[in-house]
Amino acid sequence: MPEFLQNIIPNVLKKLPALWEATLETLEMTGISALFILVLGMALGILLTVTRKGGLMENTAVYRVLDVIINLLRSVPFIILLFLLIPLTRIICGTSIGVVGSIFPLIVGTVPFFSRQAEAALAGVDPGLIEAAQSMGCSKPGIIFRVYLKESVPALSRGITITLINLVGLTAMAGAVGAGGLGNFAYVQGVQRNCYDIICAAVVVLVIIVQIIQIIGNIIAKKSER
Amino acid sequence: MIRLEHITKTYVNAGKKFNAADDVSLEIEKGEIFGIIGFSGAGKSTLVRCINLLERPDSGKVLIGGRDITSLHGAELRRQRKKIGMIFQHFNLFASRTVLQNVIFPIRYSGLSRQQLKEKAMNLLELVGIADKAGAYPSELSGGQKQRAAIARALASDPEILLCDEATSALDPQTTESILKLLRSLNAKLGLTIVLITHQMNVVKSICTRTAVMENGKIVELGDVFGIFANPQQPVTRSFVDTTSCLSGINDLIEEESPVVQLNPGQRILRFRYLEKSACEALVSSISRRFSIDLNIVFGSIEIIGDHPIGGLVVIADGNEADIDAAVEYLRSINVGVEVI
Repeated sequence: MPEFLQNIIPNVLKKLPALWEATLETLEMTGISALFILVLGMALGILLTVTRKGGLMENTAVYRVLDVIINLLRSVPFIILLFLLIPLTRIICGTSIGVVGSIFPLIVGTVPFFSRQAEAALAGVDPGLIEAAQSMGCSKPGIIFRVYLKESVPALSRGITITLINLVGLTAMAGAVGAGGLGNFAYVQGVQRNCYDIICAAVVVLVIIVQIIQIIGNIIAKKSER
Repeated sequence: MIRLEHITKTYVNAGKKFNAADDVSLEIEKGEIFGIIGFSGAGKSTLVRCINLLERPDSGKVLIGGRDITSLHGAELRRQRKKIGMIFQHFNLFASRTVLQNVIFPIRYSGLSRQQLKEKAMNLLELVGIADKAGAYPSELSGGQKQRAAIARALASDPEILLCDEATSALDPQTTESILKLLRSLNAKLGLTIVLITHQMNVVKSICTRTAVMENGKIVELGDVFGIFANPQQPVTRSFVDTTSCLSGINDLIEEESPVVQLNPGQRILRFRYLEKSACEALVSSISRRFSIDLNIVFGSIEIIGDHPIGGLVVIADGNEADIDAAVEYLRSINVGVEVI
């Protein structure tokens, strides 16, 4: 068996510790940026939902501004956003390279996407429920937390799953241009040194990470669905 | 208990103005079951939502127990809303919560302990007859059970008023009947004032004490249910009353030239309507004896509303012309509405 592996993935075996480290870096980038993305995106999603026409705190001006900013950010391809943000990233993260330097662009690149996912999930809450809660004298924060968020858990967990999977892909892209992680590993060790088995190994690990996220997401969505 | 004064609410839709409530004034007594009936778009939904200010009227006042609530905002308004329960056509139960949790929802932060909350909710579920479903999720309930759960939830904060927005429109006739029975018993047991809006005349007929008929944002007719049924004044009211009786079926038969209504010489079709609460005598046999005419009943629809019979008959009268005229004359004199068709 070791001999067989030696034949098909000789380079990977030599770089196993580096592969492991790259995997951890990818998880680190994903995890840290995900924390910010979920909180910020959720807040924006809620804001979009309540300020839209007919919303709980209808405010056309706020809605329009957010809407335009989100659309603008979403129309910039991530690879360009990475370069575009370099000066800002330096100010905020202290560096524009490595795992730390990738967090800020990942957040900026993914928050707009997730805020739309969150908005869509919240829009799926039956307006009748909001009306019922209002008729019971429920406060606005009460309606947001006890009705909107609680009732949209299945849809939200699906949105979060999609977002996290996207994010894993973006970390790889960020990695290829200087951040760490599996993207960087595949590019530096694989592409530049012409070691095809390294690229494949990075892909396999990414596939596993994505699968795990998808499976967990499905379980939560299913469990919360009534 | 509830007083609406000159309520006006206008919507602008695609540049067009739409009067959902047009200077509506109304007074509903404590302990009453008050029905508001109208076709969809008549403005009844808007009107009922003005009572708890889910819709704020453009002008006019809403007084609950003598207090003007149109001036309330924020926390004060929310406190007032807790005294007004509301149930809906599509129940609006929280799908992610069990029945028990749904009932607890409105009183969760009212200061009661967990134990007290549970006890109160269970008592309410007992009251509406679904205590065994406390742990079930709404998706596991039938329509009638869902509405019972919604009623229990609406009663959780001990309201004095219950607003019912087409509460039975999504239910089958049997279930509708059982929900109406429940509402009637809540009205009797708790002294609950109930305002219900509906487009089903049967609902009004079976539980309301008084009713208002709405059309184009206005109340076009208002009165006790018997009066409305016995003597509808407006065309819209008449069409609602007709939905609960088959007496207008005669018009269809005539139109279709059905053999049933092919008259022989000397025959005439008459339609009787009982207009008074006292019209409870052996009409048909008495006039056929007195005026020696034969009466063949084609349609009949008689029911008891508020302990009085109401409805009418469509008959083919056979006899000589003078006798039939005399009979019609006599019926009119004892206040039975007669139409010669």
